[in-house]
Amino acid sequence: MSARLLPRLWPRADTRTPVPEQLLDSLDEAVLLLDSDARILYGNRRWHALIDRHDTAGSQLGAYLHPADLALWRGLFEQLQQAQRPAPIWLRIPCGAELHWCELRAQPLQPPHPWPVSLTLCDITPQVRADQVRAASHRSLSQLVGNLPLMLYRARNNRNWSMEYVSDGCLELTGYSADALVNQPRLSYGSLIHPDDAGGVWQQVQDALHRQQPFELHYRIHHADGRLCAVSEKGSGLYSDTGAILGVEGVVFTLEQR
Amino acid sequence: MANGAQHTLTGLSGWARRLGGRHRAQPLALSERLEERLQSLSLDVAGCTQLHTELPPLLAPFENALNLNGARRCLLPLLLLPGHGEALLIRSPQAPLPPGTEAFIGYQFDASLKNGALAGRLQLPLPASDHLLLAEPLPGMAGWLLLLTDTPLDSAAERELVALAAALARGLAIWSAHQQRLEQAVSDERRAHAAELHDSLAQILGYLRLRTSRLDAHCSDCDRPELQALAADLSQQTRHAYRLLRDLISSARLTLEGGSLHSALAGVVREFEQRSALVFELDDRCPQLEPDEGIAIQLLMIVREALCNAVRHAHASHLRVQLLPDSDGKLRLRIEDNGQGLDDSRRRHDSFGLGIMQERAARIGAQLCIGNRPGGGTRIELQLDGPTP
Repeated sequence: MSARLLPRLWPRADTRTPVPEQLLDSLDEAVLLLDSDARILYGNRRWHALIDRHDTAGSQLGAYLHPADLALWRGLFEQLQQAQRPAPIWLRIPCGAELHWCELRAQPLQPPHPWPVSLTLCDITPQVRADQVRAASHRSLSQLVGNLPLMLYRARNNRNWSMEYVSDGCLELTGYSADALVNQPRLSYGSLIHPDDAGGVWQQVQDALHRQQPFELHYRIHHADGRLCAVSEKGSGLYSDTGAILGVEGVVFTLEQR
Repeated sequence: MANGAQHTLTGLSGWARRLGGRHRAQPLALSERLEERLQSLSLDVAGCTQLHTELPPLLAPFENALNLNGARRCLLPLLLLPGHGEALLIRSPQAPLPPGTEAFIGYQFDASLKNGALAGRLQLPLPASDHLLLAEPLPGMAGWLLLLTDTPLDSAAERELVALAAALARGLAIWSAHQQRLEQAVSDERRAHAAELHDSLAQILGYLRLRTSRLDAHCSDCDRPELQALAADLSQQTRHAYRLLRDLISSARLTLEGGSLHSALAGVVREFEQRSALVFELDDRCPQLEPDEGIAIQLLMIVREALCNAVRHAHASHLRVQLLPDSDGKLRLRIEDNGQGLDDSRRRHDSFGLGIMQERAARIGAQLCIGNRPGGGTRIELQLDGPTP
């Protein structure tokens, strides 16, 4: 098929121009040509290396994809059938017991004719693996922080202690969810502090920031359920290189048993 | 058939008999008797305990009663029972089928049963034979009543086959509801039992485990070797007993999440993912292969054990769980990590867990291999024998 189809598509201008098939085979991306039944008309050398087979002409591309990704592929194929230009998708191509993650792009070969379509498959397995490692380490860290029986925070240095970030332990400690406390004008962490303690807290933190020292505080907060709860806090300032105070961060916890 | 219609038939048959054509009256009289026999068939089927042994003798008389003069025929119910991955073909051991029949039936009907897409009656020629395979859907059930015959049915016999399928379906519906109640009761009882074990025996064994381990530590400081050996043995055995009990409790509590091995496996992987910094990869390449529930639960327990070991001891960063189809359509489960692999000291350390996995595999007739993965790490591979016939 390929031998008949390709020279017609790219007429050879002169002998110094590489033969199209040579060019396609030299690419590190798999290149495919599909008909309107999703059957493979042509695959370059990289394609055959990717799946470790040579007899793919005439068979459906779906047969070489991971079963879990077939729905994704069918979605893209339907878009092609409706003459839309689909966004690239990531899917898996099994090869023996191994998997290759590939980014698949598809476009009509001779627009505006919808068929055949040309496909490129770029092996992105190393990038996907690196993403998975990053995601796992982020997942692990956020779960660790979320499960701690205390509240980690980063706040602006104002009397409301406007929160940029609080960990999920906030709910147990204050009765308010992390979302309710972060960047909300109505509710601030400062307003939870008992009025008799709020002034002392502000003063001690400002003293510590002035000396660029960490601080340790003990005060009372109003829990959402109405209780008054004694908490302890350890924290320190965030400074720019020039010594400007950017914010404060630290941890708040209670020794009271619920 | 409504009562009024039955009376009309009786009246008609009597009238026909009076007209003198006894051979013409025969099929109508037979239908009436057939009605009664079909009702008692429904009742008998509903009361079965072992379908695959009790059903063939119940159906055998109907094979002869069908209006097929002298033709060779065989009735074969094909059912997809809840909690089973494969359809059950019920056949009498006394009646041998033409070679290849079972494979042909599996190929023709498996997909339609699993997808719940039962069309109307089918008639298929059996390859390399002069037999026909007629399939009458069982109303309201995932199943067919198959008739293997060498003569096409006339319209009377067709009517009888439909009535037979309906009667069989009525009986099976009651049988199936009863089975489900039984299974639910067994499962409830098992959970209650597990909860009791957890609250009583597991607490005491857990305490003993801590105490015997402390005893062992104390004795290892003294200079009486016989006491040291005794304490070490006590501690080891108590740990083993505790592990076995915990395993017993968790398997009694386990249910198949989402009703299939594939969704439950994804659930297990998600669960472990939530509790560690490892990269988990689930590569499920055979969503169409669904083992029986009992087998699926054992597979899940093996995966849990393997993942637990890998997270705790393997020093791995990457874990992969694969369900791969074999060339002969069997299921292969592979769990591998890129950790430090199994050395002999670790093998001893994990020996309870590895032993429990081996026992579970043996229980479902599977081959379990535990070894080192080429390129580093551990590989556990389990080869399931094909679906049980």
